[in-house]
Amino acid sequence: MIFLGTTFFSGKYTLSPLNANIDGISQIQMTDGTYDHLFISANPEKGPANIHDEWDEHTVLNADFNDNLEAGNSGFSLKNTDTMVIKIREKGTMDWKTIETKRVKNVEDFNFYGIYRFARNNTDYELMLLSTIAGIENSYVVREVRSEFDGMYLIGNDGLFGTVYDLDGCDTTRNTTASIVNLLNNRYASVYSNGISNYDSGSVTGTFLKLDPDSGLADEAGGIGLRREFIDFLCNQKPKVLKLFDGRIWLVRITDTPSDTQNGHPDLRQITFSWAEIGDVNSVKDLYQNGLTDVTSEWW
Amino acid sequence: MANQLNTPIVNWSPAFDPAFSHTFTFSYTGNQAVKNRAVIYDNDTYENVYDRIQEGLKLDHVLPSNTLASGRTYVIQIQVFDAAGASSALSAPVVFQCFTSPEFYFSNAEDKMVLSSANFTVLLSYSQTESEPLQQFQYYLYGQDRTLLYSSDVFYDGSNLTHTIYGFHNDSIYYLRAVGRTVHGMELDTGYLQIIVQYQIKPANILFSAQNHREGGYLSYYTGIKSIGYETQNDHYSFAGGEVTLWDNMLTYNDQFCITGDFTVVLKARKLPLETFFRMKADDCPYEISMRMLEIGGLYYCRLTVPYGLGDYVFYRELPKAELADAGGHRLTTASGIPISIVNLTYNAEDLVTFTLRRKGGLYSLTLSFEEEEA
Repeated sequence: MIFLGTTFFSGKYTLSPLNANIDGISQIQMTDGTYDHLFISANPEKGPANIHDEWDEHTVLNADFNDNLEAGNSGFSLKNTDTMVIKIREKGTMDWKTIETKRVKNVEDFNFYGIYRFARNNTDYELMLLSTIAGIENSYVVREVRSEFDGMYLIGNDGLFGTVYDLDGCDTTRNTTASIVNLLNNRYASVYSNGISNYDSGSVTGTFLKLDPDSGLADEAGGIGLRREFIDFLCNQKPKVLKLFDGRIWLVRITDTPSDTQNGHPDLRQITFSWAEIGDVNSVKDLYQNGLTDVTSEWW
Repeated sequence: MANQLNTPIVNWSPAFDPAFSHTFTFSYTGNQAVKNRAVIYDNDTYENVYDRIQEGLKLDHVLPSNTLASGRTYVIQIQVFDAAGASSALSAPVVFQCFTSPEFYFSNAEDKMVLSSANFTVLLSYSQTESEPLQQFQYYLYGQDRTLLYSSDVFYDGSNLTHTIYGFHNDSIYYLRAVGRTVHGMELDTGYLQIIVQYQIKPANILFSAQNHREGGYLSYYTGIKSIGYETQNDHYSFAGGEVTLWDNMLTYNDQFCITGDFTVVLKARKLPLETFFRMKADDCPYEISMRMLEIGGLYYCRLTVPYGLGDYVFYRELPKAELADAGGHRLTTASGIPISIVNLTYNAEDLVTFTLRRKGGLYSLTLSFEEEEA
């Protein structure tokens, strides 16, 4: 019976003292004995079946006592790591590309956040976190992620712009050198190539709008600023990476003069720009030489 | 017949193995030579060991194999003849040596070997039947397409034929090669040895997460690496079979973690003494959560102690009982279906006991389970 919020000790546990809640546990001690494994997680649903699971955000410590007493993320420590390396490759390919390196001097340096902007659309990637010391690789971990985005993105080392509106097909041309010579004594033409030029060029047209994040409606004043910033970005004479929703991607420079034209309504402005391919977007060396990555030559 | 042609000059020849044919070259100007004569003497005995004429327009003379003997020094002279029969004088004598081909190879590497580390200490082997010394040698490393990636210094100490090459990348193919020269100029070459690098770098169990950002068109990743600090009272601990044994010692994990709220502790242990073996403590707090083994009335228990402000909660859990099974691994049960088990009247503790301690919503639980040691 509950009367005035009390059961008058008739509940099974009403006379039991309150549970203790020793909080902020920061020491685990083990004395004499033979130990096979120690696993601690902040998730109370974990159990003996989870002691070999991958480290997650709830794992506190995990010691397998396999020739050492380490209980942290095994394989990465100040003793065996002076540089952390992030590598990427398309799933199913063999070659890894280094996309970031970080020198490690103290424990805090092991935790960092990074972004990779040059992933193609609808492509599965494998990311590898690798620890190295004096250039020698030791421990690693690999994660898979699928890259998906819409529209078009133009990425430089000082900005990123994109749009999904009214994109054209981004038609391209493959440029090579070939000269046709008609000979007097030959019915057929002779074709000569006096160069090794072999690059793509093309143009992109899209509508650039700025949407109000709360209402989802077009922000007219903001759109003017956005388009001006984008054209400044196009005209800064710096290399960029252009990537499209269909998976195509190039390392480019903007050629010609971008244009800003009305697309049927005063608030709908299209920007058109032309580009030419200036390097191999899959080459870390080309990206470095064009200022789009900080990964230096010893990691290529 | 009058010597009307210019005297040829025999070019210096490095030492060679007489088991193979060898070409002596010479320089000559004048009428077209259509044949030449080579005369070879043993430099020690002055015995004429070879005297032949070869026809040909080229300014060389091919010595057939097995004409001379290894370990000897010889002298060669050459004269030329033109189509009219005019001849030159014999050239100035040129000394050369014959030695058996040395053995020059990598003694700890073979073609298409698999290398399981990022560096490799190569060991060259050199031997020569007539004890011709090794004068110099050098190591080369090539990439998969045989482009030169690395060349060592030129070494002159034939007593130290080891060299360590660093920086092999995993899942890559390299070619290893060494070249050298003996004192009398015999060229040595190990040839290209293909090395396949596949080392087992340890997969790490760390927090590494990657995410796609559709609206921004980029991928993000972050790492959460923990290095847990620990200390022991002394070095009374040893590792064997994936376990650590402590004696007269205490292992304390005390850095880079802090448990607040709910948790699960899974501890697999055996051979525990009848005393407190596990503690969880908070800084600046006199209380601790502990587990100890004890024997009560001939049975063995694990006692969990959880303090609260006025006293302790105490949980007793009986050590898991061993259950009987038949040869097929099926548990034996009584007629009413109760598993037949053996009460733990002794604590040999050869089998692992898994202690699962949970705190959920402020409530504690302790479960003991039994794991047989793998044969």
